[in-house]
Amino acid sequence: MERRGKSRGPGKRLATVAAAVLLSAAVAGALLWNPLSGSGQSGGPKTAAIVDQLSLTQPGPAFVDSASGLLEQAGYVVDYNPGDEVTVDLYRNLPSHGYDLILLRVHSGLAQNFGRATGYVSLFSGEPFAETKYARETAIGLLGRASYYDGGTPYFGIVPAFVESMMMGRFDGAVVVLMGCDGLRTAATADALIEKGARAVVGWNGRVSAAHTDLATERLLRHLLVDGLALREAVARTMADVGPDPQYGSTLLAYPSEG
Amino acid sequence: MVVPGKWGYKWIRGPTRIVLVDYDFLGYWESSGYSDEADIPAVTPTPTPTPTPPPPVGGIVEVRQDASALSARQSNTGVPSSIALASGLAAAALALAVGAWHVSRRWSR
Repeated sequence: MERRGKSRGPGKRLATVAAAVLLSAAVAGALLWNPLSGSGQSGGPKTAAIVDQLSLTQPGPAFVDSASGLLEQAGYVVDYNPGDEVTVDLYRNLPSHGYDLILLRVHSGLAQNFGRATGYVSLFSGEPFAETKYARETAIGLLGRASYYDGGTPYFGIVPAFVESMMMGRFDGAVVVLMGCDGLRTAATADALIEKGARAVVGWNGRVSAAHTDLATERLLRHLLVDGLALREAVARTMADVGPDPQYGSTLLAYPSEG
Repeated sequence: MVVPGKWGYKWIRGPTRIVLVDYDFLGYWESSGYSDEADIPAVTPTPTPTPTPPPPVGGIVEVRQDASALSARQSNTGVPSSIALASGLAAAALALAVGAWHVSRRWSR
């Protein structure tokens, strides 16, 4: 087949080949890149946050110690937020801290609108729900009423629209790990985080117990920070190590799943 | 006298006389409604308690308004979030007024 257009000289051909090689290298680098290696976003030390709303019901001091230790050994400065400090304002300001890694050890569940599934997962805060507080945000569905079981103590729940509309700043390439239930059962919450600047989201595609998510996340950090694996490979290795949740059968996934 | 398999009111101690009858004699307890058979039910072993599964780290979240359509509208406009929120609120109010609120495809994946 004849190709139309101007014939190319040897110099242009060389440039084309060089560009193709560079492009291939860039694509390969992107696929194999470990988002948690190198220095922090501002050129200083890398930073990580452990948002531990789950400590209100299922404290995991062993996990917190282990995760903090792994991160600090890898050169991270770690901010730990216990359950009672996991407020709506903490979520609102979360992107502005410039974290490279955020572990959301929080309850989460699929949100409903008058009994009808919305298709997105909501993240629990540790701030007790009150009708008069954040009334506007609650009225238009930027915050939900979240409880661990039907009739349980209600807390404010964060929904994707809150992430996009109310969060201050941008995540600037952070990796966000949704340690609670259903984080990646649908892509909605992950999409919101990525639109807000997160590079990737890791989460479960169903329900999970605290023990299993702690175990898997600790193993994930080890593969990322000690073994230096790329994110998707680290997630795959983690699942090979710990398997699905033994009680609920959910699997840890990375999102986006490609690229 | 102990009667194996029968409750104690069928047992006797210190009989002073024996009377033979040709009918089913009902004693004090039987006349009061206790079972004339007085069989002790077979003992069933206590079931081994099954371990309680660890609770999931999930829960129930109720939103008063499905704000996904609002958010999708904002993300498509590319305008600053505060402006988009304001226009989104107006759109939400309008949608509520006309009853046309719907779940956007983006969020219902």
